[in-house]
Amino acid sequence: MYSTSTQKREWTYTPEKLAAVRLETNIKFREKYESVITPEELELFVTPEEELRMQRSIEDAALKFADKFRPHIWPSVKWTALAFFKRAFLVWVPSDTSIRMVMMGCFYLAMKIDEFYITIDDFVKNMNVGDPRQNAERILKLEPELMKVLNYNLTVHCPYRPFEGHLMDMKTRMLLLNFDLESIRRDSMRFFQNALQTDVLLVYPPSQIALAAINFGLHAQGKSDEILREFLRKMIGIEEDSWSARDVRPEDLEKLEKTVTRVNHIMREVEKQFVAVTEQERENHKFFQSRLSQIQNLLPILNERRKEAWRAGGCIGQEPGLVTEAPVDSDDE
Amino acid sequence: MSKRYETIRHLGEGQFANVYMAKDLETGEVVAIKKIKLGSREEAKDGINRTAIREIKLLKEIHHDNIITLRDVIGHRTSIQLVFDFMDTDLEHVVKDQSIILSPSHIKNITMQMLLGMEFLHTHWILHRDLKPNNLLLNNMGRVKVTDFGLARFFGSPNRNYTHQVVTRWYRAPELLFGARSYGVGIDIWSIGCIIAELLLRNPIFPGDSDIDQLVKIFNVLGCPTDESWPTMKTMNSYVNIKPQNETPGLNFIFSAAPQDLIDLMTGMWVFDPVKRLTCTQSLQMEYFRAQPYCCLDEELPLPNKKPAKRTRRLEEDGSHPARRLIFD
Amino acid sequence: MRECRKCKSNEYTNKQLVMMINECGHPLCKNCVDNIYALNSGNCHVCNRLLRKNGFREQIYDDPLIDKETFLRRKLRKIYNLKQDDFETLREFGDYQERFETLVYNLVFETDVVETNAEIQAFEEKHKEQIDRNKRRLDEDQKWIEDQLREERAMKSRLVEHMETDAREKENTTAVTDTRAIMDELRDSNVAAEVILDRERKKQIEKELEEKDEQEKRKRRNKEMLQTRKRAAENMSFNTVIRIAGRAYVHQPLELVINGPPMPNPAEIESMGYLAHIRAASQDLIAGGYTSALGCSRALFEARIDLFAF
Repeated sequence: MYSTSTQKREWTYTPEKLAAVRLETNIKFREKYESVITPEELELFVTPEEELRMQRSIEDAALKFADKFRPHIWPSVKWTALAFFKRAFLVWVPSDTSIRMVMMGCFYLAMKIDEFYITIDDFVKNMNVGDPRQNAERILKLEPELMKVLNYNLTVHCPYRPFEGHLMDMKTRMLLLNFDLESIRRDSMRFFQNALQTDVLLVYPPSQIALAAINFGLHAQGKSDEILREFLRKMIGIEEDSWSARDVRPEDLEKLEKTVTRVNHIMREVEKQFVAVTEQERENHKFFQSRLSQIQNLLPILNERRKEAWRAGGCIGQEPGLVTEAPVDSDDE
Repeated sequence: MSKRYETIRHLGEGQFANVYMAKDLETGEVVAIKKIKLGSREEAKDGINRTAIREIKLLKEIHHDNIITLRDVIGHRTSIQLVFDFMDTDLEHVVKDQSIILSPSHIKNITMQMLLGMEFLHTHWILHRDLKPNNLLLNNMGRVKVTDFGLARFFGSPNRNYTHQVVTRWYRAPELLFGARSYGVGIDIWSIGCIIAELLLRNPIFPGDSDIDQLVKIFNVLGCPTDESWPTMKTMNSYVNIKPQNETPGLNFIFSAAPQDLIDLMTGMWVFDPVKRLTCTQSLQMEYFRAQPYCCLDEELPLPNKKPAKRTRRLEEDGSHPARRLIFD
Repeated sequence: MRECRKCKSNEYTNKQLVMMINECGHPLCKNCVDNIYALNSGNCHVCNRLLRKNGFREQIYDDPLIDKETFLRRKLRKIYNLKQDDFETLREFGDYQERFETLVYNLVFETDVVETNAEIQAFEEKHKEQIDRNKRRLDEDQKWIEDQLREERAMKSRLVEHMETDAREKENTTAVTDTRAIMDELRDSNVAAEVILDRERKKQIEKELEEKDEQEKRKRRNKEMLQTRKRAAENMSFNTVIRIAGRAYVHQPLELVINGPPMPNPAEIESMGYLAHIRAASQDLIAGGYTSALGCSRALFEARIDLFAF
């Protein structure tokens, strides 16, 4: 369950902490090459903001990939895959990996995790770039590295089942609504789809994200927060006519208010963070790609320079480019 | 292996894994390391073996005294190693060791530990799907731990079909033998009933040699299910009508030495209709655990005298004996 | 992003930044608190209120107002701790609760502070006896936890006692009979005394080794117990880790901490009509042991877990 999960313990952050982690990862990568780089080469390096935008545009493409995937995948697969992707890039930087391939690796791993059975051959048939055999090889090679960077925390708690739970609860408890609750489903799913391109899944519990999706759906039907409030009152057990009917514990009221505040906060966050990828950006994205490949071409040269500097400095400390930097070390019998 | 662990000896080899006994140099403790093979071999052509992935994904999330602890995972380019608690033996060895006498309070203790571990799993919406004596490990402190989560998965999803080809045949519940597409905690409870019986008899209770023979063996002991006792059974895919060959002797006759409260527990675990079968929590609340003789202390549980040179259970763990364990997915 | 308004240090410039807050609700970083309130009291850098250093505590929420509110609530709750049975009617209790909310509101937004404080003081004086009595009354939850802990301690000490008496008894009997037997043997037998003594010495060593082994085992067991306890505490489910030996076992079903609205039990799931809103399980699914109630409770369960984690 989520409350004792590795997801909560190791992969949930405050927004501030999240920004700090990303900044740190970016700086660490820069620092590695600082001593040997020329100013023109430094121009190529990307900022954390650019990296994040890069990730968003890959996520956008990945969601399209997921929708077109055959056989049909269930939504929790894509949620799991994108959670893996976001987690991985808190440790890795796009300049150091093939960001697209990592996303494919995340999907392949997520399918295994979610018991969606597919062979690697059938998987790569869904990719429209590259040679199938090479794609398969690269994905399989990534798999153990990906698991390692995820610290082997592979269970992801998605908001889809909690969403069904909330919806069922609402249908059962709110008998006097004058509209069909099923009508919110389409908008709620749209909310999830947008939320996948934000950070909310690294910040909030799935039960809260699910309730935000419900409220988003209700708003889209022109309803106010009042339905959410009434629903929560019923779930918590606060009677409408509270003062005369029974005692209401202040902590219950506090829970009610905090939940409403939190739900609205998540909705705002999704609205704020989700910026649809535009045509313009797709162009930029190509530009990014070329910039990334320039960096990637540059890296071996920089690594060579670091080694030279290391040798010139009398071979003090660890040789650059060994152990710590190889995602998976080769120490094996 | 890795710098932190020093291999002591090889314990066994399976299709996907090698198992070693090793010393954790940081803590000085003895551990078991299961090394999953990667690479381009035929079995690994779809990447990391699914059973290994299931074990990692579930065991990273759950911690209970009666469930094996995944202490560490070490990744290499050509292998993934899972580091577990080292356990001295398993229930299969205990059952088979003729020099060991299992007293009623030993059996009560083992049953209780088993059920507590399984209650924890089921409460967290996880089915084990492969309970059998050699998946219940025992250490020299008398702690019983459920192991081998290679077939385990979350349950409670309405839309997904599960394979019925799980659980080693002798411990397989009748609904699985009838090809049920979906199931619940009942399949694990059935296996626990079979394991208790095996502790008493020192032999498997339903040693079927085919799926049909398995049903016959079950019905010969428990009688046949009827439309009253299991109204929905005929809707299952591979339902077959089987007539028992002779009168059933009844559990009291087979377990002549067992007290009535234990017979009641087993009867509840072997109710044909899985919806009416006992749950772990209900089992733990049965009279059996409140009545004398009480549980022994954990450390009083007997262990086999001679440690087996190689633990054969590890051989089967990854499906290398298809006769006893059907490969899933 | 958190930033100290006094010294302008923030989470990026100072990784160890800790923000503190006092009753007026104006945050300040820990360094500034240490500097400004070195003499244990001083004025707030924003509202100039006189503050004591020991009134500062770590800011938990991003919005200082919430921090202020929880602080005030906690403080006021020490005075406004009356229970429902302190009142004649529900209505009175309701009024009391409502008044409490008003007071909190007043203090948080600093309206009518003087009057409010006067009212609180008057209330405290008037209900002194009841307040004191309620302070002593423990919450049922707390009691339950304490009972559990006491039970655990008692069990552990019983176990230790049991093992100690065993060990003592064994030692006494073996020691006495052994010396006597050896004396007899030394006197009566033809075997050389050295051989007998040597044999006895060996026995002694073996016994010591055995005891050491036993001790080691016990130590490991204790260590294991501790580790599991720690893990269990981390997982926040109160499971019975220590097993019951030698007495009747009364099982308490495992209950998980939901931190959300309460789960309906299986009977309620049926009676409240939940099942009308989930696709009915087909006959062959039911035959396998899957019921709609099962799918339903898992969805309801997951919808509740940590819904109140803020």
